[in-house]
Amino acid sequence: MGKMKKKFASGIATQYISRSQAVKRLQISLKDFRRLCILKGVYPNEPKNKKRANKGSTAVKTFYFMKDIQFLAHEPIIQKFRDFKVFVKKLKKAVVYKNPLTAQRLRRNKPVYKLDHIVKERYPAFVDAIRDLDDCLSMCFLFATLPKSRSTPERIIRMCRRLTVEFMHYVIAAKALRKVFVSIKGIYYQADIQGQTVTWIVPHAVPSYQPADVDFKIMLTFTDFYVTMLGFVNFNLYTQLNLSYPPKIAAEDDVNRADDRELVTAEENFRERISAMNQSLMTAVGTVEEEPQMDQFPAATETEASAVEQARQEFEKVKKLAALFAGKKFYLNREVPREPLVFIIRACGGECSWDRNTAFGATFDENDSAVSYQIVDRPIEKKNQLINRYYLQPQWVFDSINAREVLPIEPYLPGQKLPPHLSPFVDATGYQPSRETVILPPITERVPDIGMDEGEENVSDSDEDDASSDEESPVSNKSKDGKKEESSKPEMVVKRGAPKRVDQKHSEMVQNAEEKRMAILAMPKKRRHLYEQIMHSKKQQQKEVRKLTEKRKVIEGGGSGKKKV
Amino acid sequence: MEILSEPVRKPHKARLSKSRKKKSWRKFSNVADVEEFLDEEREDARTGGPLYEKKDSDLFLIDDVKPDLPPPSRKSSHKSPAAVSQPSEISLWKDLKCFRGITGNRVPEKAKPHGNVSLDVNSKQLKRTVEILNQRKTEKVRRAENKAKKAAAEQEAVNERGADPVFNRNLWASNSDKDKVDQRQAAITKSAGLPPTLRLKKASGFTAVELPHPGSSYNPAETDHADLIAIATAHAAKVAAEDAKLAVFSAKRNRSDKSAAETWMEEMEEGLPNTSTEPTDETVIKRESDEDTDDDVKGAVGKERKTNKIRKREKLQDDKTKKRSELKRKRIRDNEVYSVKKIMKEIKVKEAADSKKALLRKAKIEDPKRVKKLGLVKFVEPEVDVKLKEDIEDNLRRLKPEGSLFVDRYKSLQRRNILEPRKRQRVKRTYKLKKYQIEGRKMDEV
Repeated sequence: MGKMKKKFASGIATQYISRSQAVKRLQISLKDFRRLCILKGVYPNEPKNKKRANKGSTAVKTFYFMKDIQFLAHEPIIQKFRDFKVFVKKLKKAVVYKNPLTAQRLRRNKPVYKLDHIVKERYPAFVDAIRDLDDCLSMCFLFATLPKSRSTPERIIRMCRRLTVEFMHYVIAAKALRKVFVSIKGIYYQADIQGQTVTWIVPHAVPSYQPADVDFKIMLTFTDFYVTMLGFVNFNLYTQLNLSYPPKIAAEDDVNRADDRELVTAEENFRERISAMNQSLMTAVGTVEEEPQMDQFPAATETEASAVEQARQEFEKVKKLAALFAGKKFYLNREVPREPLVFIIRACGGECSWDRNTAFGATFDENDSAVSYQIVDRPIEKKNQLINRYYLQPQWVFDSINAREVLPIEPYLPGQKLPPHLSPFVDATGYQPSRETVILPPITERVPDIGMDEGEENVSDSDEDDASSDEESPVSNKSKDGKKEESSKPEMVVKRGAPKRVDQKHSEMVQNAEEKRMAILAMPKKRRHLYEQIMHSKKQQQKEVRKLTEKRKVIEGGGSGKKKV
Repeated sequence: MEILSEPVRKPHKARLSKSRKKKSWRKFSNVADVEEFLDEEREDARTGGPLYEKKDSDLFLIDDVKPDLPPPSRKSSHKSPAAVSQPSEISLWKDLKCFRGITGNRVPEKAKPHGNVSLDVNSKQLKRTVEILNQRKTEKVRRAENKAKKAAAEQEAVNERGADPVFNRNLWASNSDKDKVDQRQAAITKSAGLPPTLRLKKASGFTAVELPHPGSSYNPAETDHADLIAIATAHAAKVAAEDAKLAVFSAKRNRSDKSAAETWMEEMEEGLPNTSTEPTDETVIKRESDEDTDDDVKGAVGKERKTNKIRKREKLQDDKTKKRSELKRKRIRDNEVYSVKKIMKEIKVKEAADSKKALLRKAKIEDPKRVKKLGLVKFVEPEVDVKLKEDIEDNLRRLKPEGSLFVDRYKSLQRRNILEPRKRQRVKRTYKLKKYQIEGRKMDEV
């Protein structure tokens, strides 16, 4: 018989360690242990068998992996924690014994820790960091709104603000914004950063407070780490986009200088203008930007082909979105939320400005003739409106971005009851539900829309109705005439010959179709098969859409019918 | 070389031996000077003659051939020429004094200047001293210096570009020492690989930022909003049910937990006419039970001892019933043979149910969206933030945000099993603070 085995010397009992044991093992305080765990990304774990992990006891405990704790023991930051403890002791002593010089010296040499290596350790590749950016961005945006207090030091708040602004600058420069959603909690953004979908939430611009049931010490530790992470991520993003980091404004012209006020320092002025996000950033080295091209992938199967087709469509859409507001000038009234609007308008290629007296960074004035849209959020009098621009509510901007096209302006005019702001995060492939099928064609010619009240809109509606009825009537007239003519015709008549009219367009079309048919015939077998598959899936999709639209028509018709009854 | 040990110079007359042969001749005659001369002669033959007899041209050579040295670079300016021309393995020892002595390329070491050293920058003495000191620096020191210089230059370049003091490099591409773990720490033990939590990251099925419900739009579509309201109501109902359950439980516990002081008044008032006309259920029960116990006590007093006869009979009776039941059990068991099919079916059903349960349990444990119980406190789902229909405005300006994003973030971390939910700990005093009144500042005196 071999040696008797001891209980709890192997298996689950050795895989886990309780929190208090871990604290004892690392020789740091519980507070520091919590901080260390958060910084290193080590979390508690639930053992499969708690009793066995607890060596037979059923007491409720928090467990960690033993290996995690062994890993933590190697962290040099622990030494910094210990140093800090000593520093606090010494400082306390110096203060109590009234040694101001000693206290001053100690304060000057306050031990600080760096988190660079931990960022690299937790995210071995840059992509990993981007993938995990959601949490980081949300937290930083949240902390940037806080006032300075005992539990939220100024340094962190300032860094959060600075880094989030830098990040937004990147999104603007890279044209990476994809979706926006204004919810009752805050504004959700989704961007495509180097192929990774990053979603974050930004609180509305109202004073934030510290809720009682949130442990701010813990939140602060998270933010401390995220600040370091976001800084390095920003650096990489900027350098990859060939922008200089930290950001500098590209064109320091007279417009900018006009903001130089006597009350602010040059540094503050610069910071404010950067955070206004209204001017593009300076590139590090002058380069020619080349337009991205979609790679051609030969697809082997039908599913692949459809995927390629989808990707191509998505690419086209994104391209369109990036230049959605290109060349358009927006003037933002005082009452609209400036930062989110500037961010999204500029991310789609537009230009913005606002009242010079409300904030820094305004680039043009309200009565600039080149302004195409003015975003307003309170009723304005007709006489104050300028004739050569559209006055619109802010939701138009959000909805346009989500629809990825410039939406018709009618429903968004000031004073109108707005259509619902739908979530872009709902999956809507193939058949577009509700609103988007009803979209009016975008207006190409500018219609003077000033003073468009509800009544007047009704008038225009009726006008349209009239027009449509007018359009209908000639057709019916024609048909009637045709019938009459037929009846009065003699049986055989020699008509004067007319030169045969060749419809150039039609013949061209026919020729094109013929050529296409020939091309298909000439295709090798493999390619033709693929082509047929693609066409088949396309047809299938169209069929689906048609079916659904028919259904909708029926439902709507039925609904209206009921109403009438 | 001296053949004769000592010339014999005795004043007395030389003694001649009897045999006058060569040996005795040598013995008694003084030939020291001859020998000396011969020695000199031999010495000259060996060394090539005395120097004073030689010409200058034989002795000295004018060195008019230029040496093939590499052009003096700035970096290696302080290197001795010997070190430059030597092969690498020799360069390791070249700083050793003994080695320099052997090679002959000796750099004359001047005596250390004592006392009055010239502090003039141009003074030759000072320059030479510095040079010598430079030469004494080992290769290691020199390398370290170069490195420091390089780093300083880099830093300067960074500063010139106006770079950020912290975020000034590609963290993921650089292999600089800055991004490595402190060597003084790491040298003790080998750094471990990634631990389980970092390796098995993304265990939770929840995303970091949960996508919003379409009904939470500031200007939602009617159906979406109704959907969200339904969700919120369901959640609220669940919470209310839980609360009701807890309330019942806590009421029960509180009743039994009443301390003596709390029930004292009740007990004292018991039976008084004006306090309560109708006895409560509780008191009725109490009284009944009281009566019961009274009866028992009385009965106990009146009971008689069993006689042996009675005992025997009772035992017999017991045995009989036992036997009967045993027989019955046996009969049933024997008959089970005939109902094997039925039993097998039952077993199968039970097994199926068990395996189903096990599967469900496994699925529940492995569910990526399971919120683990990490500590004493259970995770509580936050309320669903929703605006009532009458509060909704389609105007962004008048929007009042709902809920707190801080709570959302905090709860999200807990839901993803990153933080363990816990109660907030308040600072508790272990002992009460003593109060003192300083004599001179007593309030009474003022």
